[in-house]
Amino acid sequence: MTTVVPQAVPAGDVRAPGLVGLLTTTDHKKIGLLTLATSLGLFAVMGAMALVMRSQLAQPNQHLIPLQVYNQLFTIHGSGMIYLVITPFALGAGVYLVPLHVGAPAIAAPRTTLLAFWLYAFGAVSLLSGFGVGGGAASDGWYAYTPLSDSTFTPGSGMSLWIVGVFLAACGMILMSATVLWTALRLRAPGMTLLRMPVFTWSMVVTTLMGVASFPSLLGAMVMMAIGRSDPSLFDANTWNIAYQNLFWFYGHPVVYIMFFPFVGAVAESLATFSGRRYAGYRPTVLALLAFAALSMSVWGHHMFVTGQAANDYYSLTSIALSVPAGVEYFGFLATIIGGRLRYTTSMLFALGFIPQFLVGGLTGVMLGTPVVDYHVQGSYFIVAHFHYTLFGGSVFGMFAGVYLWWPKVTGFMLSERLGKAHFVLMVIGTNMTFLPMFGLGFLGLPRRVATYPDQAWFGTLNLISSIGAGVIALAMAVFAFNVVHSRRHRVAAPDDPWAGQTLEWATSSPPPRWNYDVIPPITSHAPLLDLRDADDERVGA
Amino acid sequence: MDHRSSFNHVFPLEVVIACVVFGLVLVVLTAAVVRSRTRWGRRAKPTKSHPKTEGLYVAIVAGLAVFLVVFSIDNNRSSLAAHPAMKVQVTAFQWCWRFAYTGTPVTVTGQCQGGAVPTLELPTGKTIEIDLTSSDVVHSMWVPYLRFKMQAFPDHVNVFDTRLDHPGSWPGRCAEFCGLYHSGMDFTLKAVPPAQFDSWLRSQEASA
Ligand SMILES: [Cu+2]
Repeated sequence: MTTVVPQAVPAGDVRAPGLVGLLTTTDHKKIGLLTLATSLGLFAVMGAMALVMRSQLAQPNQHLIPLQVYNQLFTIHGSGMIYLVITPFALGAGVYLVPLHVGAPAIAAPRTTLLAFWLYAFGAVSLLSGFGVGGGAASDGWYAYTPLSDSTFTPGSGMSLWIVGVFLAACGMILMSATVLWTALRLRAPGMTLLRMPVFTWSMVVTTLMGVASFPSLLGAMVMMAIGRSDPSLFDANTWNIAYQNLFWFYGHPVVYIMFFPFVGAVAESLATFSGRRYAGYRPTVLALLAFAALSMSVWGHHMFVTGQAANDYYSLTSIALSVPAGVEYFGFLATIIGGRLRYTTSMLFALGFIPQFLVGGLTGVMLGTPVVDYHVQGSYFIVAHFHYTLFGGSVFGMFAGVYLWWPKVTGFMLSERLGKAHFVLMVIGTNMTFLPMFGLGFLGLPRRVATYPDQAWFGTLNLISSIGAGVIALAMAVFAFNVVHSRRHRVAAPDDPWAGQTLEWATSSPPPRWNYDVIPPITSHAPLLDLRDADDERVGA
Repeated sequence: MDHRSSFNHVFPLEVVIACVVFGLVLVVLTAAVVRSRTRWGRRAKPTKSHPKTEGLYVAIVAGLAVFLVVFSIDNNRSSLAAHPAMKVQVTAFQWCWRFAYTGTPVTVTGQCQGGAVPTLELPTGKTIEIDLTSSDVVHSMWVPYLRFKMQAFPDHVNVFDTRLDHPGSWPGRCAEFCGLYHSGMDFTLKAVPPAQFDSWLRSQEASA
């Protein structure tokens, strides 16, 4: 089996060199890197805001920062993490990896992908520039319910800049979803059938399907809010306020999975690679991802149990039904590592940490899908704990499993494993210290989005533990930043395949050349490089 | 409608199920790590597909999901009392509460700032209907003790009922972010024996 598939290699890049060249590149790897780097930079900004909030909340009845500043901070932290950090990071990873994974020399519609990056970048600038205008940035939370967000109750241009920013970033995400999806569906190399695509690429297919289907609803919500800001009387009518909530959550729930699936994919790749065997339950996992994506479009009403204006029992049914495909995904994780020969690299540790931590988010999600429980914990710190377990304990851990796995491929040098492991240990401690106490706080009656709180039993203690935990997370992130700087200075060049990888990208150089592959190895399954090694072993051994 | 007892019926069972599932996954995870240690130096076994195990597993998860759905819906049967002993119209506004006792001129309100929070006083042992609305933005009326909250919308009345079996006094809060002073938008729920409530209401009527 030494067939090579010849690739039609287009002529070299004729773009300008330097910064201008980078910012106008049509190379999907550079567009992907621009997106990933921008979102990581913004991650640091949003994290810094979280630290200020955790300082303010460390003790009851504190007034370190004014109320209006606190309200802007939680709004921009939440909006920023969702619209500008995790979603773009997820799609940016797809822009970088999907063409490599399917053996394509380029992404479909590279100029459109570049436009998507710029829409996202300008959206970020618009959203954050609210801090520079009179009245400050938007202050109505990441879902900005009407009529609070109309011009009567939230005057000032900060809120308008927020709408423009969210709209632009959402347009960027739709375009990015479309080009990644098109690449996976139409630009696969010969031999790369749909059911030979890596799990990560399948996770991107369902992510981008949800992106294309749900983001337009957010655009609709933003348009409605913009109209309401020029004529606030629109929101005198209950119909439009409820319509806004429906439009918003029709986007707002699928986006939770958009911010989650690509990291499930990264965790799956890491688990398979560092267990030394192919991913178990590949087909059931693909089916589960597709079922999950389809169901995700019909669960939005569980965010509206307490409106008194939603079909609660129906949404309870669809929401709890999600636990079936989720269970299948967990089966794949566990079946892959049982019987494997595990190598505890930093990437593997983050992938293993993802499994129980995301499970906490998932199991509490079942509780939230139960109306009589939701009536109590909705809008409280219980919710804050729940979604930080999914998005931080889950997605961010999956993000780092991916970062440590693909860093050598992308940059051409290795990260320090010793510093990586310190990063991991601090992250586990910090995450659980910060977010576990919040379940208790919510249960005991602390609402979310309060700038300060009374000295009720346990409130002070649990909040203090949480704030110290946030400090530990900050320390963990500092270790990561130091790792990048340190490893870059003491450069250890990355080989093509440092981890004994299984998917195509490990067959090309690190970093890959402009058109990705000089030759493409034969594609025989979803783990083609593993097949090659097995074939070699058979020849030598037998 | 006794929301607290519905909650207490459902939540502990869901916590137990969650703990069992979490424990099982943790056991499997630990087993994989331990087994891998003893296999050091040997190659990983190739992954095989076990369609029967997978099918059985999906059936178990689906069975659990069906049970949870039925259990969840069954406990969410909200029936409004046809003849509540009394009604209170609750209006949320930026940033406090107004409680109007239907059929009387009695209205209780406040500014909520500086600890001056209004008290919603109710008789014990009676079914009380709450007609909840807002005069500006969306708020949410939450009494953690009752394990219940409901959003308050302008141009819309949400109706629910409640029943307090024991005298007592509990904090209530706004649970939907509603602007600058959201964090101080509190009230107190106070339950007193019916006789005491009647005399309180009469004295309020006299001064109203
Ligand atoms: Cu309020």
